[in-house]
Amino acid sequence: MKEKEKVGSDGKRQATNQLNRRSFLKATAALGAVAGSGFALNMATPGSAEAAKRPLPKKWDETVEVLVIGSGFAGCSAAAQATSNGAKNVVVLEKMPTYGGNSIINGGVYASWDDKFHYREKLNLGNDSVNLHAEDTLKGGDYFSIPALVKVMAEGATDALNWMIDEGGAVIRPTVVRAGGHSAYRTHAAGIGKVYVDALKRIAEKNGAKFRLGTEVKWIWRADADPKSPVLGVEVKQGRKISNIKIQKGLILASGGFSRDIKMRGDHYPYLSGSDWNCTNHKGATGEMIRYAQAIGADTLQMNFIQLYPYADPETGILDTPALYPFNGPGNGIVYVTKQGKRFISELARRDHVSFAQIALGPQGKPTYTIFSDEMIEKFGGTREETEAGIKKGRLVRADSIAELAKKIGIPSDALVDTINKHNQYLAAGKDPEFNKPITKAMTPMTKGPFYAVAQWPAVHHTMGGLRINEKAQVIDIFGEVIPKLYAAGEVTGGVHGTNRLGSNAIPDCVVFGRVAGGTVVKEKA
Amino acid sequence: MKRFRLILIFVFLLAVVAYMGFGEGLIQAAKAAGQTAAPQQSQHAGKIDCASCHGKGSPEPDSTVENPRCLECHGPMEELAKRSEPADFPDRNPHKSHLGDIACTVCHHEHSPSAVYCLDCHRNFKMKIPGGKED
Ligand SMILES: Cc1cc2nc3c(=O)[nH]c(=O)nc-3n(C[C@H](O)[C@H](O)[C@H](O)COP(=O)(O)OP(=O)(O)OC[C@H]3O[C@@H](n4cnc5c(N)ncnc54)[C@H](O)[C@@H]3O)c2cc1C
Ligand code: HEC
Ligand code: HEC
Ligand code: HEC
Repeated sequence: MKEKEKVGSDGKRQATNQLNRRSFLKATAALGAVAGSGFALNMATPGSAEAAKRPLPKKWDETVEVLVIGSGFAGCSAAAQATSNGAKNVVVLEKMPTYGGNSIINGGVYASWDDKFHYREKLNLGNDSVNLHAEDTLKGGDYFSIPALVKVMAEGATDALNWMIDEGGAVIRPTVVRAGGHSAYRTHAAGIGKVYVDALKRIAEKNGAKFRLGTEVKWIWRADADPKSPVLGVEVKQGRKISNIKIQKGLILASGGFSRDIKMRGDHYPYLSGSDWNCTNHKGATGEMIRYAQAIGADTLQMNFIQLYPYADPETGILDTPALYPFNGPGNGIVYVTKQGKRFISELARRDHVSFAQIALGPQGKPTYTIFSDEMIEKFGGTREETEAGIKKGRLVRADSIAELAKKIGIPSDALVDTINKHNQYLAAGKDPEFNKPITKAMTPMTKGPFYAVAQWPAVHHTMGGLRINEKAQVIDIFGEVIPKLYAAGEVTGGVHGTNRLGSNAIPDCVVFGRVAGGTVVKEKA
Repeated sequence: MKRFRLILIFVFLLAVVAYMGFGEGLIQAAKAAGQTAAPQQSQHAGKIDCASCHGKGSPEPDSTVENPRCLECHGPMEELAKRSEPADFPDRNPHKSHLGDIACTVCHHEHSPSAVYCLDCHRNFKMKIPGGKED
């Protein structure tokens, strides 16, 4: 609860979050009676008769050509693309006192079948294609994704990556890894998501986009639910000041996911209700923009698909660099073990499968560990600097032998030695009889020390569901019509990842759809 | 009689404070009482005045102070960051972090307790700020 107060979300208005068709129709009918008298469509305040009478603002305090809500990957790339395509007056609003949302604390891994340096090819890491990326994404989400949206992401991923490198000065590391759920080496690394956020922000600001921090959107204005009725503007709050901004060409919602919105989370996935779960997200990851969009008729989908990150810091829930290694390392031969020193799943399994395998161990099973060796670090995109820092702050444990490592983390030495020996044999034989992990040549047996361990446990991480959009990033209403001038991109949308987002697919999703939204909105009539 | 009026004014001011919220309320209350200053809660109290941060005239509600103004007295940034670099974990530096250039006022508040924003996410970092709650 405290968190929500902190970001200033309006608890009252959020109380009713699901529209039902009857109340929608009723409200719309009520509006019909007052059409032309300047009433706004509004169905989210409890007591729908009065609710339909929230008047449109009498005057606008400001007019903006393109307004973007949220300053993460999706918002920055929308602003960058809109200004690149000629929009002159583009403003990005961010409610937090700092920019970048989840994107700026993100781990920087980016799935793309290729890149301008062709690293996968140069490193002899096998083949890949747009189609394979799309197919893995569909499969990894149990075919709940909307194929047309997946196609947009997979097709746009490489160009978006190169754009951030060429135009924004992003620097990626010369590695490509194979991560859980992906059937190819296609995950690129930059160390931290800030690299991309800053690249996108640079493009946007160079072209004249303006960023405003500490400015929270409190409402979306739309006169009625007629399919021809466009979004008109938004109400914003800065400090205690409320004002209204009119939009000319469009409003782009890039407000991120709702992992920190304990109520919304629990409403859709009761298993994750309550505040006991750790969470990897920044505090502003709440769902009010989804509610405001629903209140003007927007459709949502798959709100119950919420992902746990299996490898977060068990103590704080933070996804720090050591917490990224267990995700980046499976293609290079890392091993996950229980406190008893036993493997419990294929290390190439999807995030949801790993998380639930951990949870199945029971509370006494917390934490599980990832074991890796020094030889692997650079191969899976890590650096010595990072491992030294990780050891210093106690997140990584290092030892010269597996037996000593086991002692240091307090698990039975014999068991761990036996597990690693067996795993080495599986790699040599090319077959994992225990968990059927697909063995590849890039997997290094753990014969040479020093060895490392990192503790891991699931934390709420990503909301796959959200606003329904089409391939042009236009928001769709509950009757299947486009809501004119309303766009959405990034984690606030649903339909790209199905039941389970593959790691490193979020950045391409956000950047590609941000570009699509920014590119399409400039074609609107002012 | 006079005393009664004073009490009334006081109650009124309290109500204003409660209604408007802390910082602004104090400014308004101070104005209503014909004072020039909203109570300062940091080391600045008694050392620097409103104009040092806000410039001439009384500030608008919700007005903030931009970094260059603070850095006129506390800069340059590199030196400030050097001074606040922890010996044990040099990268846990409030003035030089992965959040980049952020406003001083994200953490330092003049009219309410200061708070280290980093701790929102890094629950286990040990960082203290002058003028913080447990300071
Ligand atoms: C710790 C961490 C590591 C991750 N690592 C990876 C990775 O390596 N690779 C990968 O592909 N994915 C990763 N992800 C997922 C990915 O980072 C997110 O899905 C992505 O950042 C979402 O971007 P976005 O632009 O949609 O939203 P965000 O970056 O969250 O930005 C949305 C912004 O909108 C603001 N906002 C919300 N509501 C309002 C409002 N009412 N008014 C004004 N502003 C508002 C928020 O404050 C926020 O700043 C990671 C996620 C986390 C949390
Ligand atoms: C919104 C959440 C958030 C905030 C606020 C935040 N951090 Fe972080 N920080 C992270 C995450 C997530 C990581 C891990 C990803 C990475 O490597 O950048 C991280 C990594 C770090 C690291 C390196 C890893 C470690 O654990 O030692 C340091 C040091 C750090 N942050 C310091 C700071 C400081 C100083 C501040 C305040 C100025 C701050 N952070 C604010 C989320 C946050
Ligand atoms: C006109 C000069 C001036 C300006 C402008 C100014 N300060 Fe100060 N600041 C001071 C002085 C003088 C002190 C008291 C130093 C002392 O007593 O050692 C101080 C003290 C502080 C302290 C406490 C130091 C401690 O160790 O306890 C902090 C924190 C601080 N200032 C932050 C800020 C911030 C943030 C801003 C901008 C919002 C700002 N200052 C603007 C002059 C200034
Ligand atoms: C992320 C939170 C945060 C931000 C943002 C921040 N500070 Fe600080 N500041 C701190 C903390 C924590 C300390 C205490 C550091 C210490 O004890 O070494 C501090 C100490 C200080 C001090 C007293 C110590 C000294 O060496 O003078 C001054 C002055 C100061 N800050 C000024 C600023 C100014 C100016 C800015 C903006 C450019 C700023 N701070 C931004 C958290 C912050």
